[in-house]
Amino acid sequence: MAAVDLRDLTVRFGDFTAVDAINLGLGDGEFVVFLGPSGCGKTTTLRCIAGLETPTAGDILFDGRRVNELHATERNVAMVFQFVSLYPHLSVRENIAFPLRARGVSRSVIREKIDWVTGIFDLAPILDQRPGRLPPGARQKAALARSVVRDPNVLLLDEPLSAIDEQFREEMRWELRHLQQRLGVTSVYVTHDQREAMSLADRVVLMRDGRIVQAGPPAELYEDPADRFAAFFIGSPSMNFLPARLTDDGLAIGREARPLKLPAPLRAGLAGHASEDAITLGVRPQHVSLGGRSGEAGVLDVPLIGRYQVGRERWFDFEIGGEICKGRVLSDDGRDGGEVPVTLDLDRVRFFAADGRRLRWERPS
Amino acid sequence: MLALDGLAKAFGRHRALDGITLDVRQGELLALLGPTGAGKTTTLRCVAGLERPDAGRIRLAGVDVTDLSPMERDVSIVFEGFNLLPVLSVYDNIAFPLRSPLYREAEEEVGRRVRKAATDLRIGHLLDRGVDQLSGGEKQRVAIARALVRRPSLYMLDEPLSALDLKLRESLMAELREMHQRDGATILYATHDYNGAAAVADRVALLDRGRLLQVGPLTEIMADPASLAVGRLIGSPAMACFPGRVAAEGVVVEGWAEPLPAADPAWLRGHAGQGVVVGLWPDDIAVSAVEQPGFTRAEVYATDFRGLDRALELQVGRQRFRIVVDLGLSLPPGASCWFRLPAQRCFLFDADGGRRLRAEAGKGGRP
Repeated sequence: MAAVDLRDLTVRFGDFTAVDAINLGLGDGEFVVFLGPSGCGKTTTLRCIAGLETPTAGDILFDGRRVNELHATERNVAMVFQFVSLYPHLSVRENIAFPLRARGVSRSVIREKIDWVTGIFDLAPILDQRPGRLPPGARQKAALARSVVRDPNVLLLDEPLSAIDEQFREEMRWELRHLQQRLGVTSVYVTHDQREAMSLADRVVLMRDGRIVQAGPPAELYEDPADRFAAFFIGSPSMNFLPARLTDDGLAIGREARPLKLPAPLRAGLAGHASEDAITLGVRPQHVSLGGRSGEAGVLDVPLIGRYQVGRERWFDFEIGGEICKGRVLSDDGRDGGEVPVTLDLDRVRFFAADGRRLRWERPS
Repeated sequence: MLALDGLAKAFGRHRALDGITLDVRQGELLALLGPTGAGKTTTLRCVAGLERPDAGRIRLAGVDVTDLSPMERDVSIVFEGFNLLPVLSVYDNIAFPLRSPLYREAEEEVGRRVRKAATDLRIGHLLDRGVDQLSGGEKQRVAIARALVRRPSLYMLDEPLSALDLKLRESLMAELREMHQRDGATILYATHDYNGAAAVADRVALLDRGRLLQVGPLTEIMADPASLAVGRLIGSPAMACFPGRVAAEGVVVEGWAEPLPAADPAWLRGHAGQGVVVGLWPDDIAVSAVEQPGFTRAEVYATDFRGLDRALELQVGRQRFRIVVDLGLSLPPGASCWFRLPAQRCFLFDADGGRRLRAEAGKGGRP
């Protein structure tokens, strides 16, 4: 395994810039997930590391050594795709041994290596079976085992679970979570599924339009989003975004300018952003609760759309500025419509400028 | 509203539907939840008249429609993909179904209904735009408005296996829920995603291999699951399962020191030796980071940060199961923790076939 450095990595296809001068270091043994909507550049970046795509500009370094000119086969990277590619006529054991045999590795070393991956991937029950008879999850595990058995510099996984049925996918996610922590191989995992990214990554690299929006541990992206896009993309249910203007004692929310009083320190902290004509208050649904005393700081009157049950929890929908927002029902007051007070957890609200920039404020000491 | 009675359909030797009997009530949002191949899409296609059942009857609003053509059935299918006509404006896209030969309406009435549907979905200001100028979310609302405008007795939604954009799916849920609450529309929604179904459905119909496993509000199904297969299909994560054997003092789980007092003592005596599976919902399992009397030690196999909370997979011997904990409880992979299975939260299933055994302590689970 190796540490990987991307320096001003740029890929253009004609006029289209797929990857726009990104800089990123992947630590030795780190599990990094590239996350973003389709077209954000995550797969192109992965293909550059693999040597399947040639950068227009910038460098790729493995352990400090430039590998731009190295062919994919010379980089010693392992790639796992959506569709498992095992040899159907070979047993799982023979499939795993195949890349080692091809390189002339001795029998005793092959046996050692197979023991090692069998332990990690829990393959003992299926070692002597042929892939065709196995459920998709087991096949995917065998494919993973085959890709790590030859000590790759980097393990590259391109949406490996997206073609699997939801229930197998859930099982595989758990296996991957477990393996992630024991494997110790530098890994890059590409997905558009934020839940997958949050639960698998040591570090999430969120991309958009060829650029890195934010890179950090999952909880950091969740709690401290770099901008409105990060706040929107990470977390399910999605963060609520309430359009607002600053007023003397707080905010006016939505087209109807619903008053939301803020405590003096918070209002003072936002004063530095007075030049912003429109700001957005972001708050996750679990930090909005139904009920409260109208007029108090952090309490907003909103039109209630309805309540609903998700599993064992109760949630509600309300409307602000033409958008549906969500909150949690902690105690029920029985009202089914009309204007209701809701309480925002002001320690957990985030602010954004009209262009999506995060607006930070200093708590006065 | 919609009544399916013994619906069966085979494709060659594959039984896609194996006797589905199900009522969809007026004004409810019913989710058909099941894995790929469960028969969800075939059910919708039969209701729409796109597929002819081998046996069984379909009644829509009191009328037997089994032998009617798709055009004669008052239903509409919304696809999650947008299927908008790119050469037409938003207005003309929404108006499209009203201008079909079968439903031809006066242009004045068309205008009134298009504007109403557009206003309901907050796209009234976009009517003159071209479809290609819209964002993904706006396109989605246009697609829903187009389905709404005809006001059929029943809407059906079929979700493809792999949703390309999870964020769009999430907002579709909110739109659907609002439309349902505002208009009292009757909606049949086919999905393989438990969380999606949980977020919108009044009732859930669980399908597996062409059979209906259980129907009801999720809270009721969770309080009283009919079979082990039900436990595996719902919950986030799904039910925690412990294979064991009935002994006089309780259910003995292999590798565990203490038997589970998971059943009524009289029943235990009568069923000694029977193979069973003990099932619990993950959030009913008590967990502690420190040793406690009556708790069993486990190792954290893997963790899943979910934003709101954390799910953990625990391992005891070769047995693994999942629980849900608050973010405040720090239990990294490899750490030890202690858990307890509250007897009155345990469900018992027959190890052979997964049938529910109604012999639990405290008479069937949760209060």
